[in-house]
Amino acid sequence: MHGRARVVGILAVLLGIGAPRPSWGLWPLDRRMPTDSLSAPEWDTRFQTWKQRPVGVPDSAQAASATAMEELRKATQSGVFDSALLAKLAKQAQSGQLDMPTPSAKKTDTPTSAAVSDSIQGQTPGANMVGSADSLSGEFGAGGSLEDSTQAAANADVSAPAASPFQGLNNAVPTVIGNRGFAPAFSAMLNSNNDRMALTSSLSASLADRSGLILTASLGHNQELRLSQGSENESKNLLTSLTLPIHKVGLTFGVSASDGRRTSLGARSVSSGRTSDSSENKLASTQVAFARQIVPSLGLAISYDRRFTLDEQSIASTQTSSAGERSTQTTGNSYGAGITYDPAAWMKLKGRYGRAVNDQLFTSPSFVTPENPSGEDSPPPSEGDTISVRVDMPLGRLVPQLSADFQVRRTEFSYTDVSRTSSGSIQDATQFAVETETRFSRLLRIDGRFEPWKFLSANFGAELARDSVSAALRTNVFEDAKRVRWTVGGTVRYPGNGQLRVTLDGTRADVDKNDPKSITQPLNPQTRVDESHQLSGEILQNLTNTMKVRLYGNVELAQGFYAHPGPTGFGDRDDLRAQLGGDLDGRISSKSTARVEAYVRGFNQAFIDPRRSKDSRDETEYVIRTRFDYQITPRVALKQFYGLSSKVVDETFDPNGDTLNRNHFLQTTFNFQMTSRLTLDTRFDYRLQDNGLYILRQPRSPERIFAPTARTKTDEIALGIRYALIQGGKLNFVSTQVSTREHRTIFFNGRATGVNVIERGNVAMGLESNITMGDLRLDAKVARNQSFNVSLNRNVYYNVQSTLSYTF
Amino acid sequence: MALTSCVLVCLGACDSFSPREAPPPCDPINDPTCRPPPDFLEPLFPEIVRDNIERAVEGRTVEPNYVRSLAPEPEDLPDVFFYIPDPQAEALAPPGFFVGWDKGREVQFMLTLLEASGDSLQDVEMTFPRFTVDPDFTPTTNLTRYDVDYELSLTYVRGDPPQERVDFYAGRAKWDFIGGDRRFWTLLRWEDIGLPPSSSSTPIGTMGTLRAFVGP
Repeated sequence: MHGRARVVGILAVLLGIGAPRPSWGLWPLDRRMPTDSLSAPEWDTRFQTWKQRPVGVPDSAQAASATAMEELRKATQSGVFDSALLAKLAKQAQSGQLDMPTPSAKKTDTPTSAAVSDSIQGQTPGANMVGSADSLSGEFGAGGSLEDSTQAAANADVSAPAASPFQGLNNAVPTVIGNRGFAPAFSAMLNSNNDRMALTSSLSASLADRSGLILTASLGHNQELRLSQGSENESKNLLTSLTLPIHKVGLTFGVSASDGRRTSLGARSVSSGRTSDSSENKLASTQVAFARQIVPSLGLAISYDRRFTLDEQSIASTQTSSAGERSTQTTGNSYGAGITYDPAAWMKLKGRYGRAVNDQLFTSPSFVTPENPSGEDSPPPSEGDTISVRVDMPLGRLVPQLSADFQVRRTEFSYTDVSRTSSGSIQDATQFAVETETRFSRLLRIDGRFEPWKFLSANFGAELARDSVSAALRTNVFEDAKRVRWTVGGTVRYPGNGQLRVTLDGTRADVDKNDPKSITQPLNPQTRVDESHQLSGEILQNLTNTMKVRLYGNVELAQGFYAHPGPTGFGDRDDLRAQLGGDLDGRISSKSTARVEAYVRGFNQAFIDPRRSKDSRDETEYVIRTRFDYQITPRVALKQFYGLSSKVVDETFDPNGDTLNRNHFLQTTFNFQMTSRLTLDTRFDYRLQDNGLYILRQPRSPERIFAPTARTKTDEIALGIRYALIQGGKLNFVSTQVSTREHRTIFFNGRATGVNVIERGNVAMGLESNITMGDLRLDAKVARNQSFNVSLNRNVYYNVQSTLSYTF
Repeated sequence: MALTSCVLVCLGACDSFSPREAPPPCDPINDPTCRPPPDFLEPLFPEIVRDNIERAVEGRTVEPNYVRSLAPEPEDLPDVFFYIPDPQAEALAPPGFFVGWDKGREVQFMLTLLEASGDSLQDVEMTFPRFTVDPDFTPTTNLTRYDVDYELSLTYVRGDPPQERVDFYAGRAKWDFIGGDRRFWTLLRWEDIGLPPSSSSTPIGTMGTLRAFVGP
């Protein structure tokens, strides 16, 4: 610790901005860790919390924040930290008190926010630092406008040019980037198993100062080989970003740029070569965001993002005629504004609006004509809008939760797709065309909770939504779906920590797939109305202090009403599911616990069209499982797991096809820590599976008999040994031996016609090592695997997994 | 009172949980439009799953035959089918198209291909020139892997005047099957590697390419 501090101090002094000017000096933020005697989990939790706090807190105008940061500054200067201070800071960071100007991320419960974050996070770090998509959309939602409005496909088109360069590079870019004072890092990972070898390496550096300024750069390389196929994928990536916050006025600036190249060589074929694909994606983006609490009850956030992307791709194949080139150049702006209004405890209002417009230029030899020799196509700009409003109105103790959401999203975006006929089918796989897709979604949702008494609570919710999708060329994309969802539930609590919960919910979706533009198939057989409703109940009760019981049941009916017949008739179907069961958990003694689980489940499926009704069937399944754990001594443990199940499938219109499947299994594991270095694990598995017909003994007889068609009996023994050559996980010898014997018996007309015995096994021996020396960390696993499968192979494989990382 | 309300709600709801009755199947002898779906064979072995998939595609019965051939079946089991495209298919598709390709998307793809492709699909043929256990994979009693070469021919009638056209797709893939412990094998993982070394016709691409073309 002191050594690291010295290194950072020297770096800081060399840069001339160290201790004499602590308020602007390079601050090794994540090195300020507690030095007291916290246990490892506590330490790790606090450290993780501390790492995830917003950066740039010292300049917060809030008194609490300033006080806390003053304490932090003193602690940093003195080099002494205590757990109380860290806990206090972590608590304040969690509550947002440390970062009033920039609202903390992901506080919204709108369904799109996660997708917004996911689509950008880890791909454009600069953008995230500014918070255009992550932090702001969480609270105010000013940013992320187009991503919000376009859902997954639109994300792919509009924001994916930024995403593409980093696909497959998640491992190569350290996630801690940007949280340190000055933190160069190197990471390399080698993963090799039977058929695949992957090598990932990255070199990254980040520079952060206490004001929140963050500069990051990362260089990554991925290579993957498939030995048996001769295929190869390689990608190289470079990304940089700069984030500059000015907290006093609530402004944040960001710039990010990246370049990614990917090449793929497909499986090698002896006769006719293979496919090669190469792509390059470039991104330059600049963002500015403003977020401020205008008055105590009013917050405002505004963001603007300008970006340029270039995606180029070429495909060549010596096997087929598939070859082509295409490139997409995108220049766009996105901006948004969000507001929160929190005037009273009984009302909180959030609203946001976002818009994005992207100009795109598509280039492909497919577009070349005498009138267009350059092969360029520039459709109308892709654009999207989103607006959402959320109102929370808790009405005292009686109605602690009542909220309403309203969201509207609209997008129109273009991309290059394979050329198609007017009916939407493929015209030529090697030719491209510009496709334009339009999406329009509306959603209204109301949720609430009602608590008239302490022992009774009820919840309710309703949702109305409409999603419309259409495309210029791909007519089968068309969909206009109107959806309704509702739920009502109640919970009764009674003495002895018991409770009864009942829920009734339902959905209805009216899905119109009839594209008015479709000439060849105007009536799409997927046009339908889906309805479902479900009733579920559950009783939880503590029988004693050490034993509890859970009884549950549910029934669900899902129905599909189709408008037009398909090639095999109407798709109308009714699925009725019902389940009734119970669990019993208990502690038998201080050393042993047991659990029993049993349920009956039914599944009735009816096809309503006579052309399909032959597949109608009813299933009934009976399951009982028990588990027993016995800690014989502190070093010796025994576990047993036993299960028995039986499933009857009745073919509605073919009684001779009724089947019965039954199985039981017993698994016993034994764990013995012989010494502080040596651990022994053994496992024995026994399984018996019977499959067969379950038919009438005689015509019109009420009695049915089981006529087996197959029986499989499996015995498996596994033995594992772990010996710590160097304790503390630094070097372990690991050996695992698994041996399986499987008896398969096939029956015909009730008589065994063949017995097949399959024996197989695997012996793995190797070393595992987790070594940490200062900032150097090595995790490695090397194993020699030999399989003993009589019918297949006796090959020996060496599996290697290794990760080396070094933080300077 | 609350308990009574719950019971009343439950009783009132019971009637709405009555499903429709399935009508008797049509008779192909008396009804020329009757084309009963192929039987779903009990998937005691991975080879039967392959046969069920072949029959489901050729018989254009996505539901239930194709659905029941993909994990999880029944649907409350934890392992879920997923698809990994070959590089060429991934390159042809819009960015991120194959991310999260699970059972739901696979079924929707097949429904769109076989029932709503926007053209007159006359005939579908699927064959498996190669279907062998992967010698490089260490199987368990519950999980195994096969090397698969497949070919798919889609015969359309298009244009005016109508002309027949055959779209041919072929691929080399790795198929993982799960469910050996229950003797109900299902397809868990379909990884397209690329085009097969040889095929009966020149393929447009793998079924990954077809997925990219069709959607969803």
